[in-house]
Amino acid sequence: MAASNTTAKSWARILCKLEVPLLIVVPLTLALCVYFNVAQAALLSLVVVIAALVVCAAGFETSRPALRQIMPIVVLAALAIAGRLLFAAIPDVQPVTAICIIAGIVFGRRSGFMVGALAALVSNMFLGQGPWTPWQMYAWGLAGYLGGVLYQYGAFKRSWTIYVWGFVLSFLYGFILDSFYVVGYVNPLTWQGALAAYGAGAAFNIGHAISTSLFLALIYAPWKRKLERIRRKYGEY
Amino acid sequence: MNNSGTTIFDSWHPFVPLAFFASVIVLSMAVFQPVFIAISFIGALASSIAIRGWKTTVKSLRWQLPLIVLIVLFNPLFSSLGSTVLFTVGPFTMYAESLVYGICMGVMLVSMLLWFVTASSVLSSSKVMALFGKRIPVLSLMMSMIARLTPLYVRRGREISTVDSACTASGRKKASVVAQAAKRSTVLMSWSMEDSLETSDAMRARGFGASHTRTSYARYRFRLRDGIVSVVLLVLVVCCAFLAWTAASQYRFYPTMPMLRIWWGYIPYIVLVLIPTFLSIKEGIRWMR
Repeated sequence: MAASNTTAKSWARILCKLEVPLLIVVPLTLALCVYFNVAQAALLSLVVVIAALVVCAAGFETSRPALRQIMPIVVLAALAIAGRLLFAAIPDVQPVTAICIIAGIVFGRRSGFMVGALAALVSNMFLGQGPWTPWQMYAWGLAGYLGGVLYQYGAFKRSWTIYVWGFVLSFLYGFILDSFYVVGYVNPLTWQGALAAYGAGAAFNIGHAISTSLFLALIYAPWKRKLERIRRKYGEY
Repeated sequence: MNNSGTTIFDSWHPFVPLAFFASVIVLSMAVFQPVFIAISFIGALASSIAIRGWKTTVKSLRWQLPLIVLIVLFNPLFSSLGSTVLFTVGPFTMYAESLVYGICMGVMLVSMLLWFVTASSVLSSSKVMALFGKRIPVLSLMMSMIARLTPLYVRRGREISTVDSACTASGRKKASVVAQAAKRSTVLMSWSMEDSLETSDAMRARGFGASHTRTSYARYRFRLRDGIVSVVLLVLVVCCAFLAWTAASQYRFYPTMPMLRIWWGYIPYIVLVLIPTFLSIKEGIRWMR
């Protein structure tokens, strides 16, 4: 048992090191598919994004997280999904992005990633799975991950920076989801075609960005205060 | 056809439908050749009707067909490539090749959507848990908890709103709608978070995580016939992949499209995508007798 524990830990360490390169490889693959005009762009990019998700998930799994570590992720993901279902009638207006950012800030980047990825996966069980599911998992996971990283480096000392970040990040999310369609499914890719596809998504992305900033303005301060109070009450997570 | 939640794949181990749908989805994504796309679409439609029933399929096609039209028009308008000019409108020239490409793209996307919905109606969450629960215990625990907590939180949110409205109904200073929403969401979050930490303490007190591996109750057993079917499926998929690769590497949309001929190599793919339909017809005949 001790031996298997140490192998699990060394696995966790290796997977942890692979995490960042693989998260970077995903957008890189999309760019390279465009540059080299790869014929199987849709399949190749799907394989890469799934590989990135599997590595991140396996890193989390093998680190053998304690229950106290799992629970906040589960609760925030479930709240994000409940919010997404609540706003399901208005396209792209949902609190998931905002909750992912908060999760990354309060509980660290890996927990933020897991909240985003799990919220996307499980909410699509209610709203419909499709080829977009891994991309949503990646994009929302990235929202949580980057939130955690930026907070660690002290980027959110002033509260307005986080609203701006939410705005920027929503566009990044939209860009990733539009790109997977443009790169994989528009062929041959021309400037006009790409612009038209991104233009079609722009209205939704603006709605998403404004709503994310508003959600952050609404819940960031009170949620963070409450979460820190709970942390003091129950001891370290 | 049935609303009882049972499907024709229920008599097999969940690995069999997982392998089937995963390979069909990958093949439909990878092979961009008109005949293979058409076969995949017909197979997806037939499987969806066989497994999810007429009404549900038509309902999902209602929003998918406009999507096809959009994609069909989108591609030729912006990717003017090809050699056979159909017509010219202002700055746009419509080529036959580009139009056919757009049609193929639209049909492929819709058949993939159909395969995905059919797959998720066959692979219920309990089957996914049965497949992965032992190998990834932490993540499957988290997923089943999230799936269970989401409806609870929706209900809890409603309860909080009702109580809050009742408490502020008697002429206390009314908060703005926005401030009210922020307060209610914060109450929901902190209630749920504290609740979940109590739950985790209770789980630990009952011995959760005390042993290295967690035992689980296996509802599905991988029997010999599941193994045989899996091997047959694998052979068929490899065969289809090879034939599809041959066909797709000989086919070009631009600048001109070659003529399509009748070819025996399409038969294995037809058999593969129609497996769910065959199974459901077999089931139907058995029940008629």
